[in-house]
Order: sequence, then structure tokens, then C-alpha cells
Amino acid sequence: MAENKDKATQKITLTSNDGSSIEVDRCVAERSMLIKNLIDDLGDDSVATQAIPIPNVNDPVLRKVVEWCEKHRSDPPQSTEEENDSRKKTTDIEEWDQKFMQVDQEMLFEIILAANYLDIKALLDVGCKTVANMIKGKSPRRSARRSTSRTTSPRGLLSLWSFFRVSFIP
Amino acid sequence: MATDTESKLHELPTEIIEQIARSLSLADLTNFRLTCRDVASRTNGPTFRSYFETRTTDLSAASLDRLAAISTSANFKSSIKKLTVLATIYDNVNAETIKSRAGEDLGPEEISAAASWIQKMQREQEKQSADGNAAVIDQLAVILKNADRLETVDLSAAFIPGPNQSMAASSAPYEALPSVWRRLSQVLSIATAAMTQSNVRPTTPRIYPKWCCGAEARSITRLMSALGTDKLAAVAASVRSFALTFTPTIMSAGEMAPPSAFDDLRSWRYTDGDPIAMLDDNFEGVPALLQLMPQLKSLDLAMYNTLEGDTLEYDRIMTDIARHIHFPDLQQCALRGLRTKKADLLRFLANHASSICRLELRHVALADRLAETGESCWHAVFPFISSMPKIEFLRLSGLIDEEMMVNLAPVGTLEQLIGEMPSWNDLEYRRGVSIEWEFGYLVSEREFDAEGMQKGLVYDREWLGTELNIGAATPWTEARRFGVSALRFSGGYVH
Repeated sequence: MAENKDKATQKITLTSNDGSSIEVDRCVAERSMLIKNLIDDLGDDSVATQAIPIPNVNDPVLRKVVEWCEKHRSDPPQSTEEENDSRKKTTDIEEWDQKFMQVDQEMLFEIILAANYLDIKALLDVGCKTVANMIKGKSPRRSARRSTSRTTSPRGLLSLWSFFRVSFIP
Repeated sequence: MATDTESKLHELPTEIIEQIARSLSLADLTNFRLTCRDVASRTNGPTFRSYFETRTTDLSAASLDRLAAISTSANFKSSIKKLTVLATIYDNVNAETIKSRAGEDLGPEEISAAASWIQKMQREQEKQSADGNAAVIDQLAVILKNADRLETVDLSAAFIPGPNQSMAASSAPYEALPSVWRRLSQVLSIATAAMTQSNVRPTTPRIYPKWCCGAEARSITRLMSALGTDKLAAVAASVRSFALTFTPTIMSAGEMAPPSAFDDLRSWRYTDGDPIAMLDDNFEGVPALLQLMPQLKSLDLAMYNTLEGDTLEYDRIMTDIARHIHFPDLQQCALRGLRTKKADLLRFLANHASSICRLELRHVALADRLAETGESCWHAVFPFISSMPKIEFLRLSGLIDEEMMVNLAPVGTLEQLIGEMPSWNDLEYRRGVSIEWEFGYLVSEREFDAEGMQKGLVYDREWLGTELNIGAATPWTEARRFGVSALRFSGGYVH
């Protein structure tokens, strides 16, 4: 028991792609299945002495992800049976997570990509629901600016909704 | 030039775009797809479409509306392959208990939670009883008609546990079974009525290849007479795979008439909540329904047993089936929990010996008396199964002979047994199906593949039918009670 507790609070260093390091408790880092599997594979000792590089994630995003993992450190482990996870299907988001996701669009997408890369299902889930909630109830409005992108629909389109347009179209 | 916006969204991997899209209602999804070709094409792939493949409805208005929207969407309606109609049952036993315990050991919060649960439950139950009306049937019929690629109609049950119960509760408490079956029977009649209604064009009949359901045997009889054999036959004629779990009429002990002097036993044997099978001479519907399915390739027929109550008469179902029904093309057959006379089982197998290639007998009880020699009646059945020409797979499990579990132990040492049954290498599995005792092993389950069938069905004749109801065999008795069911209880989410 005591050994387990030591393991949970063992310090682990993560290095983002711009070189800065963050020290976190092991149980926090293990919210990420990628990191958990890595530690399982390499053994306890190697991570005690070496930092784990996270090459796909930059410092501000990594800090944000770690903040979420800290908050959710004592959540039950990810369920493997997706079908039975009833929370997954609704678009209800816990209040704390809602506040957490009140970031600019770019950060939101970055968090989603990082959660996907680090394999943190619950965070990915919250991110996707946040985007879905933004889409809900919006109609595809004709955009003033015609995009020349090949991916644009022939109807002139219009591309994404107002909320995307406002924040991304220069 | 592509704008930052698009590049940003398009940088997301397709699976994430799909995950976002899955959280949207159909209307929002349609709008989302209209914004951009890239999004439209990335939410049209096989993975995303498979999300529509299996849909579940609890027949509530909201869930039927969602389903109706999908079934009228030109793009997605053909993706629906399987529809599960869920009979939802609310945990009233638990709520009532909480109410009666108010003021004893429960805090005010728990009591108010229980009170609001009871209210919610009553509202839902009122809605359910109003659901029997024609509007639900009509709407479901339209959905069935529109979803033209639908292959499987599945009836299942979801038990919704009350407050203070783990949401992960995977099964209904035993006491709730009478209400579970009543609701299932209700749902079966709604769904079946809708299926017959959807089948309006005689030239291009709606085809239902797979159909799974469960109900009280008497409700099937009622359904047959209510809908009319002709209409039902038109639907049933296209069924290739049919799974039916039926149950004797189940009542809880509390609902039964006050015990007469004769029934004195009951007063101490049962508590009020215990489900008891009633002798109800009203099960002709089961064989009659099967008779309407000449194209059947796969049959899974199961009887749900309670441990209490008199089900002796139910061996007549198998008598009717053996006498009157012949499926020319039956390839897979599972009989579970049924009571049958030896002669009827043999006759049924003989009728289909030329086509059956996979056979499973689980918790099947032979209702004959033991032969005078004291030998098990199964002695006559096993050689016949061995002689069936096409058989490739056989599973025997928990067979019952005169209320005793049948010991299927082959002769030999453990090494020889592992040689014959490779799955015995797995200690867990071995413990699950066998007990070691001084004379070797008592075995409740054996499987044979084509090779095994060729070697023949070897068992220890002397010990066949040895009573297995000793100590460690209790789990098998439990399995008989609960394991027979084809019902799957889920957490109850409906999408």
C-alpha cells in the first residue's frame, strides 16, 4: 500500500517540444495512456532519472493538459467498454471542465490534438463535446468571403460558421 | 488560398472530426456537413456511417423523433442495420425501500433524492402505459419502412437503478423480474405490430432477416390472435435468424392469492418479492409463431427459468414443435433452458438431422423418468447426435436429467482430457465447468468441433447423470437460473 502511494507521488519530468520541463506526480502523468504505457515498458527507474520528451506538444498546451490531469487525478481509470459509458453520449460537460475549456479556438484545437496524441480519452471527449456545443443550433451561413480552397463546396460556401470565421479568417 | 480557419479544422484527424460529429443531432450534423466539402466527405466514411448502424430506442417520444429524423435522411437512412428496442424498467423496489426507511438511517438529502426518483419513475411508468397507443406503433412502423437496409430487430431490456445504487448495476434484481417480463411483453407487441404495419407492399415485402426478442409465453399467444396469423406470417416468412427467450408467466409471491391451507408451504418458503413461475396453459403461441418461419437458418430458443414454481407442463412446447414444425434449412440451433421429453427431442433432431451443423444444448432438462436400469435418458440422445451427418460443432452444457445435473466427464487422466479438450489448459475455464473429486472429474460442459465429433462422443457411462448438486456445483444451479436468459441489461442509455 505504502509502495503504491510512493509510486503515485513519484515525480516525473515531461519536456515539451520547445524544451521547457514540467514536473508532475506520476499518477497525474499516467492519466495519459501514452505515458502510462511508456512507463510500464521502460520500468520505474528509467523515468526517475530521465525526462520524458513530448515532441508534439508545446509548453502552454502541455501546461494546460497537466492542469486538467491534476484536477482529474483521482478519477476512476478509463473504462475500456466505450459502449457502456453513458456519459460519452451526452453533451453535458462538468462545470469545472466547461470553465477549463473557455480558451481561444486555437488553444482548444491544440488541446484536442494533444489529448489525442497523449491518449487521454476523457479530455479528448470534453474537447470534442465543447466543439460540438459550439456547432449546435448554428446554421451554415453564407460567408462574405469566397474561399478559393479546393475543399470549398460549389454552392459558394461558406465554409464554417460564424464562430469559426470570427476567430480564424484573417 | 485556404484560410487559417479551414487549415485549423482540417488539421484535426478524421476520427476527431467524427467524434465531434457524433455528439450532434441530425439537424446540426446536416448543417455541419453543409459548411464544407472536406467535412462532408470526412463524415461520410464507413467508420462514421457505422455509428448509425446500430440504433437504440426506448420508445420515448424524444428517442423516436431522433430515429425518425435519421430514417428520413437520404444520406444516412441506409446505414441503419440494427435497431434495438429497449424495454426500460425502473427500479421501484429500491425506491420503495428507501421511502419506508425514511427517518431511520437516511439523511434528508437521500430522502429527497428518493422522493424525486419515485416521482420520475411514476411519470415514466405512466408514459409507458400510454405508449401502448397507436401513435407509437405508427411512428415505429414508418421508421421501419424508411430504414430499408435494416437487418436486425432486437428487443432488449434496460434496468434503470434507483438512487444510491451503483449506476454500473449490470443486472436487475431477481425481485424485479416480473415487471421486467411484463414490460418486455408490452414492447414485443408494440414492435411486432409496427413490423406488420411496415410490411404494406405485398410486391416488395419488408424483409427482416434477424429478429431477437423475449416475452412471456402467454403474451405471444395473445399477440398472435390480436394481430392475426396472416399479417404476422407475412413478416415472419422473411426471418432467417430468430432468437426467442420466453418465460412462463411469472408473478411475485406477493401478488399471488393468499395461501390456502394446501399452500401452507408458500408462507415460509417465499418472501413477497420472489418470482414464481405460474402454471399457465397458454403457451401455444410459441410453436405457432415458429411455424410461420419456414426460411429459418438459425434458431435460438430459450426458456427463462425461475427456481420456484411449476413448469412441468412446459415440455409440451417441445412436443408441439417436434410434431408440427420442420425448418428445411435449419443450420444453427441452440436450445436453452427448455424442458422436453426424450422422444420429442429425438424427433426434433431427426427432423433436422440433414441440415444442422451447429448445435448447442444448454440447461436442457429431459422430463422423462429414469429408465428402470437407472441409466440416464441422455444415453439415447448422445449417440443420435454423434450420428448426425453434417454436424461440425456441438456444445453441451448444464444438461439436466430428472432434476440432476448431468456429468459429462470423459474417461481418462487430466493429460488425456487436455488432449481431448484443449480449452482445459485454462485452469479458470476448467474450474468453471468441472469439479475434481476422488474418481476423476465431474464435468458440466463440453465442446466438440468437427474433429472431435469424428472421434465420437465419449463419456464415462457409469457416472453419466451423477448428481452434481454438491457443494461446488451450486454456481451451475445459479447459472441455470440466470444464465439462460438472452436478455442483456445495459446502463440504459438510448441514442
